[in-house]
Amino acid sequence: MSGAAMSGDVLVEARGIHTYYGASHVLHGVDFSVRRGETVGLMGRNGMGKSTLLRSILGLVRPREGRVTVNGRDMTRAAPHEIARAGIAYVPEGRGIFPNLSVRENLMMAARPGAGGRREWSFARVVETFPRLAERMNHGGGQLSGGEQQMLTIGRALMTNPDMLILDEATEGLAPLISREIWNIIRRIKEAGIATVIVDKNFNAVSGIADRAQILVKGTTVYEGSSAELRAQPDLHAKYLGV
Amino acid sequence: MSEAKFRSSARRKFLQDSAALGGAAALGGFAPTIARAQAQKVKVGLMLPYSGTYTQLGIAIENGFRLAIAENGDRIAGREIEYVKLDDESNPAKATDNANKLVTGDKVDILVGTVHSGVQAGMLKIVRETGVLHIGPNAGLNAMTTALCAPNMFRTSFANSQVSYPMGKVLAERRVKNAVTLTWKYSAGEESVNGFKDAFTKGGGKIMRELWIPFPNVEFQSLLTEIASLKPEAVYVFFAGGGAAKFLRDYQAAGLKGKIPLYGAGFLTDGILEAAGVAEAAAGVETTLHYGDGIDTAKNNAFRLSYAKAYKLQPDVYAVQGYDAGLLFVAGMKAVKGDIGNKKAMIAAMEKAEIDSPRGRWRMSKAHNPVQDFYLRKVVGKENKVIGVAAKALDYPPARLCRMA
Amino acid sequence: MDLGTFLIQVLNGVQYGLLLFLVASGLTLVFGIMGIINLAHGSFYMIGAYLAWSLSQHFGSLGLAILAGVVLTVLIGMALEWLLINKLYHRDHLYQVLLTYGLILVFEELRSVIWGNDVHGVAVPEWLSASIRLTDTLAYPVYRLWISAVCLVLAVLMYLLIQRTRLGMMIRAGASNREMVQSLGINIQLVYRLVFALGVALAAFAGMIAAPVSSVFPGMGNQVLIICFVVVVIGGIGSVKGAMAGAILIGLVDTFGKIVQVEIAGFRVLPELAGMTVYLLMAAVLLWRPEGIFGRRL
Ligand SMILES: Nc1ncnc2c1ncn2[C@@H]1O[C@H](COP(=O)(O)OP(=O)(O)OP(=O)(O)O)[C@@H](O)[C@H]1O
Ligand SMILES: [Mg+2]
Repeated sequence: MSGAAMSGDVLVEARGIHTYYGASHVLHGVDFSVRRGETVGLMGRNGMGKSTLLRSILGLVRPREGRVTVNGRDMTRAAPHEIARAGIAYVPEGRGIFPNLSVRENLMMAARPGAGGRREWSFARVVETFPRLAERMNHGGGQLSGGEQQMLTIGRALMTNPDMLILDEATEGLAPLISREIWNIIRRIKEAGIATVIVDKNFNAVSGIADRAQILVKGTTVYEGSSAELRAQPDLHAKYLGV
Repeated sequence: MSEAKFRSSARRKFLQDSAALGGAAALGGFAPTIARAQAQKVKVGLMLPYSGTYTQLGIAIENGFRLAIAENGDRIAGREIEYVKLDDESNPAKATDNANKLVTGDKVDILVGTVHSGVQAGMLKIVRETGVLHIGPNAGLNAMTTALCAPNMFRTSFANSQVSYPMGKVLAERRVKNAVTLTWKYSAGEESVNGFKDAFTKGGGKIMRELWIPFPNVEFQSLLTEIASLKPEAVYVFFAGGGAAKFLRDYQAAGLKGKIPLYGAGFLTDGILEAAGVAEAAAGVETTLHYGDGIDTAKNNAFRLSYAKAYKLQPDVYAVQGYDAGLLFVAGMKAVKGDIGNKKAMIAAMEKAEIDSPRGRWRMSKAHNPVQDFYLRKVVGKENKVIGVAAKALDYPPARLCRMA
Repeated sequence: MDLGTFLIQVLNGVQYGLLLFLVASGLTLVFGIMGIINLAHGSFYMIGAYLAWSLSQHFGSLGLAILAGVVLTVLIGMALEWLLINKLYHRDHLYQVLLTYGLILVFEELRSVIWGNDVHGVAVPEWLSASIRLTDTLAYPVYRLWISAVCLVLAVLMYLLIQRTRLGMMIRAGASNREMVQSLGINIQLVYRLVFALGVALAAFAGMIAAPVSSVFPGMGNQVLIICFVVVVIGGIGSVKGAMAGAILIGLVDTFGKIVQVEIAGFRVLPELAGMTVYLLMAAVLLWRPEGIFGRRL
């Protein structure tokens, strides 16, 4: 398949990404791409560079080499808010809610139409998706439980009507019951046609929902293919993921 | 003098200066020491504020000083004058260093300065240590001519409490029974209030309350409310510059003007009557100072004319103080025939000099502070009109507080 | 002190406090939201006062002068943020202090070059120039009451802006997690530029409306700066509510500090404290609550 034929499909594409923290070379020429509506599992052990790759795409750390395009537009040097406005929403590790804002304000301040002017995710729809939040609208963000905070962050991301949602360790530290609830929500988001990039410790859950998987080891890609194929190769799990 | 003529004379002076400089350099190696000392210029160190709030005062003082020298043909007892100027920035922290730079660095023969009392205090330290001749043309810290007095130190301005003493005297003579005082809480303010209080209470008056405000705070409203509730017969204040302008306007706005008469040291109304609304707010306020508007003497008229011609500016009290510093210096130099190295004789001559000042004739006290008249002035329009003499030949604080007396 | 005088003094204190609030609120906003210690904040107060003076002569009206002055200072604020301040966000406070101290010197010098070193007065607008007679010796200037009213209105507007508008939410969010705000597609740099300009304009506006009652003179900004830092520290750094509480408290303490201690002045030690009352208050508040009255726990 030629690149030109593919490109209509490709939403986000990163090529040859080299990222450093000071002198330490973390990403060694990683390629990464997501097509419209596609769900991608980004995998790898701790410290392999998953978050760094995502942050490189988001413009939060600057790759020293490589190129990032969103919808075919070069975003390599763009400001983080411009990249976000191109249709990418981010649910970071550690959630990043605004504890000094109420739940309502956390959602309201993010509201805007998506890159193509879409307005599918209204305040009402987000609240309906997260009934738990509806009860706590006027609480401060800092007063929520971990699971509620996670829902708030995802809900807030949806308020921006994104084409793609990045979920970095969305279920980290949550009780199994709450985790399951989050996975259900992620499934609904996928069904709504939003592309997602998922980083999570739970291999079965990720590979169950993802169309494609990519594995990083020390900042290089060691596997890239359909997640169904990856499930069928337990030797790779042991070798690269330790599961 | 026409504009063109003025410029050409300035140019000629510049040429003379450069020629003299060249000549001195050429003579340098050969002339014997004594002769060279005589031929060399006399170095006058001017340590004054040339930047910051007091810039105008520094300039007026320098202008006055130069005018006094120029009236002698720019040469005194055959010797030319060289000025070494230094901006003291009104910064007390740099005062001793700056004074040192002039005295030990530039080796000035006489040090003239300055405006700010805090800087003056630092200067005095160096002046006392090195014994260099010194003339203070403004700062009124009492200590300079009391506890810290020294033979080589002279002042041509005033002592802080000397300015306020006559005001207290006048009010006591008018049988004013009680007064409230108000000033910034710093040494000049305290000295000023103490001078007023001394004369006023000696004359039978009573101080109802001494009010203070931290320096340089200008939020007077609560104090004005307090004054209104105390209802004294008179209010005496010591403020200057921006603070004074604000105080006068606040006094009016608080409805006190016309109800409780306001008095002050002359600085309250000097140099600020041009500012919008101030003249109106200050109308009728009486103050005491050693200078004022409308002193109709030949000397003052001549001085004002030549100052205005030379600098295209109207002279003020600071210009007069600078001018008198110049006159004092000239008197000393003439007495020693230009041999400024003969310090003893120079000091003796300066002590005896009678200064024919625009403010009126005056002499040095034993403490080297002017024994001078103080005028009672009243704000009329934009002038501090002299309406009488509040104290004649006032020696205050008494010279006996100085060891030299 | 009789009750009437006491009440008038309370009014004096509140009125002074409200004006302080206007200046201090900008200082606390810029620190709380942007993390910038802006020593040059007082300079904007001075610039405002000088603008009120020179522009009111030009336009012949204080109202127009204030309008033009606010527009001008907003632009100055935005330009400064764009040129200098935004270089400081990731720097140590020491750099901020150095740069903004340098700005004080630059502004003083510019003031001296442009407007000179003289003291100026600004006339109170005709329609506000009356005084209300309260006792036979005391009148209260209408203009001072007007200042208080304007300060109150601005305080309410500022509260609504910060608490009720989306911009306000973004501003508060930026104070807690700048990166996250960006990742939601919000141009945080622009928001910061606006906040800084708002702070500058608030200080300048305070200088403008205070000009008729405070005179216009060199160095006036530095006095205000120091007292505003005390207000901000007492109220809790970054808290606008705290700035209000701190300012009113300082206004009252300063007012009564100047007179009450004199009533026991038989001892003559107490006037020495007049200049220190506000600092004593600050020390007391900090002992009681190190984070300030409305500060977040440190
Ligand atoms: N801000 C930083 N400064 C310096 N080094 C960093 C920084 N952030 C991450 N690193 C290092 O970069 C490497 C990759 O980190 P990254 O967070 O991208 O890994 P990860 O795959 O997301 O791991 P985890 O599963 O722990 O989240 C690690 O060695 C980490 O220690
Ligand atoms: Mg990570």
